[in-house]
Amino acid sequence: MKRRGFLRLSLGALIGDPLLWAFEKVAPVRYTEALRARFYPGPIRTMDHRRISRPGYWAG
Amino acid sequence: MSVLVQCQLCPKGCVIRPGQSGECRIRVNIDGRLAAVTYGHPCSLHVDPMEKKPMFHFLPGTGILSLATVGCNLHCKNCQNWEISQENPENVPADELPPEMLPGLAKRHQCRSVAYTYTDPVVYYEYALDSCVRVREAGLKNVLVTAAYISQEPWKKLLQFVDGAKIDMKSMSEDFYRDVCGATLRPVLDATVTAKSMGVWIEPTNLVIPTLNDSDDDFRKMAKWIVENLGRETPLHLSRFFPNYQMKNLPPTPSETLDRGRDIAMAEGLYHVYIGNISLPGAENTYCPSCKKLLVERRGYEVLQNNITAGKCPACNKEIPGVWQ
Repeated sequence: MKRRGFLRLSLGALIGDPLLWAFEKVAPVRYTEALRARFYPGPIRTMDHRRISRPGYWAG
Repeated sequence: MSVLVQCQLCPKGCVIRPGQSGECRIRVNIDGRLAAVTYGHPCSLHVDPMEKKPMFHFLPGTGILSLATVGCNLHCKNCQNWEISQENPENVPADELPPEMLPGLAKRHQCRSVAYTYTDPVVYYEYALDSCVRVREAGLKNVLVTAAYISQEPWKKLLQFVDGAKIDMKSMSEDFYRDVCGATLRPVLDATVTAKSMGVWIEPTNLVIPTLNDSDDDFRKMAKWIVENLGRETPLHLSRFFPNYQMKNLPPTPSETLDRGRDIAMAEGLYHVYIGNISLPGAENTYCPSCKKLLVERRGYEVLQNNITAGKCPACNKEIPGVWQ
């Protein structure tokens, strides 16, 4: 490699590496499956078997 | 470590900031990890008649334990269940029901199957997946009631444990999916074909909305696609629309429109086209496509008689595809 080529490569690495590093910091981590959360954020009600035994109000 | 996460479960691919959720409201970025916050907490849990799903060729006349958590990845302007599908979990009470308790609960209520329904099981995917595994292990069947707006990889993983699916085919138009549902058509068609290829029993439902998806061409396109991709023995349900949520400006679907839709779909080659959400004489009955004998007589969600014997017409012995046992 000639000196000019070496300098170009070094300059590219000097600029490119921090850009890649910054991109990794802001790029989202991809998930298909989520963690099974332990806690429900809303109110919890007592299971009522009489309610369950009746058809649901909702469509479907 | 990045703090943004991208959920790749459905084609929307939501990029989620810390502490926020995706469009579905229930898949949340907690400290840089994606969490399903309704896992094991159904907001709706009932024993429904199978015919309410509607599934007409799947264990007719039986009860099915039906559950849903809040949230949905679609935002249909005509949603009938918007009070749970378009709501945050913080505002909706839920039962505590881990997947391992589900088979026992189904058996306690004399159900041979479990439905993941009301909202869309796609968004409570992990709960549906773990539940399907447990339910299958217990010798019961799993049914999805879904719009099938999901990525292929997780869909295939879930389908291994699924016996039947009622798939909402809202329209054959990309514009309809974009304007009315905030989604796209192609992934739904792909997911439906995948389900068929994996041996899942499919019954598509088309909610017929006046002026939006009720033209002759709309009915023809859908029926043609079903015949070509799922087979002419696939039951199609045409369902009556009622004004709801953000679509109160349109009238209920006239019965003539539904009749016309059924005629067109049958002319395209479908054997079984049912009309639901309205009481029309004979519109929910199953007839033998070969000898026209009445096989299953229904009224509302009730099965009045079921003459199918070992999956066949008792008169001409023609096989009637479905899950009968």
